[in-house]
Amino acid sequence: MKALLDELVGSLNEIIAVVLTTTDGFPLGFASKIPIDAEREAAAIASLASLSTRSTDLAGIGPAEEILITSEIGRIFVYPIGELTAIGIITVRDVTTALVLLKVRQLLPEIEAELERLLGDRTGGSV
Amino acid sequence: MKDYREVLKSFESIAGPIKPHAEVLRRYAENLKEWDELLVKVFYDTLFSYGTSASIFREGERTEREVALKMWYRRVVSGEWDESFWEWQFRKVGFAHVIRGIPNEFILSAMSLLQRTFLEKALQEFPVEEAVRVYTAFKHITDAVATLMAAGYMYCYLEALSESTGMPPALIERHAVLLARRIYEEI
Repeated sequence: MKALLDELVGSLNEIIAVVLTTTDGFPLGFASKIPIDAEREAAAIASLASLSTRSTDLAGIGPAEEILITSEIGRIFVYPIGELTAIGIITVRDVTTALVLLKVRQLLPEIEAELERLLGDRTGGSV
Repeated sequence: MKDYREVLKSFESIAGPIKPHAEVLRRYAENLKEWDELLVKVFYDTLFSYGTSASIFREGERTEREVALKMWYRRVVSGEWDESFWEWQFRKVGFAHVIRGIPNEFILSAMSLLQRTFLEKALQEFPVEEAVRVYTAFKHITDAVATLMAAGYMYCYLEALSESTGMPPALIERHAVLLARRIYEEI
């Protein structure tokens, strides 16, 4: 999993870090160009995934597929992967959002295969 | 939300069974019920004398609260505790504190005051051995009630957080562990 996440971080200059987490906040892996607290970041990303799911449920607009947070100097993309995991991508602010999604989608089959190996066949669904 | 029976089961497994204490209180119930005035007075004199706890009450509310506490006390010392009694402690008495914003530290401190006042009165009224027996029964049941209230308080907050944000309880627990670990390591 580490190699896949390293590949994702290395695939775009604008990607700073990637954190893969279970929906109950346990980090399954991370890769980063800067020091990050992966444990807390994983819990925060899991919370964002939960909150987005609750909000979209309440709004009746179907399951959340992407969460985008734009800050002063960066962005965080969160993609729920099935019901048990989510991936958070931290980027610089000036990034083409479609490109981030493209990179995630390109690596997703391999990430899902690795998750299936780690968690069993319970990940269900894709970005 | 955890069921109150599970909380009670944990209490009895660790602190001991409740039933023998019910039998003790039933034997003395008529006597003990007469202490309601004293206990209620000490209880609310104390709560109303402390700014932070006094601010919880509405003006003119004391009489109403005293009636409720007397009713609760008399039911507790009756030793007649069926399912409806425990459900009342958990759902009504416990959650009334959440509704009023009365935190666990107030609940547990107030229960401690009630227990100590009861002990002092028991030592006045009974020979020491008997006083200890009656007090132990009262302490056991009121500890069980305090446990239910404290647990209910926490589960209510957890459930509210989970319900409003969609965060599963395990994720909330994870946040708590990470926070606790950080605080623990700071010392």
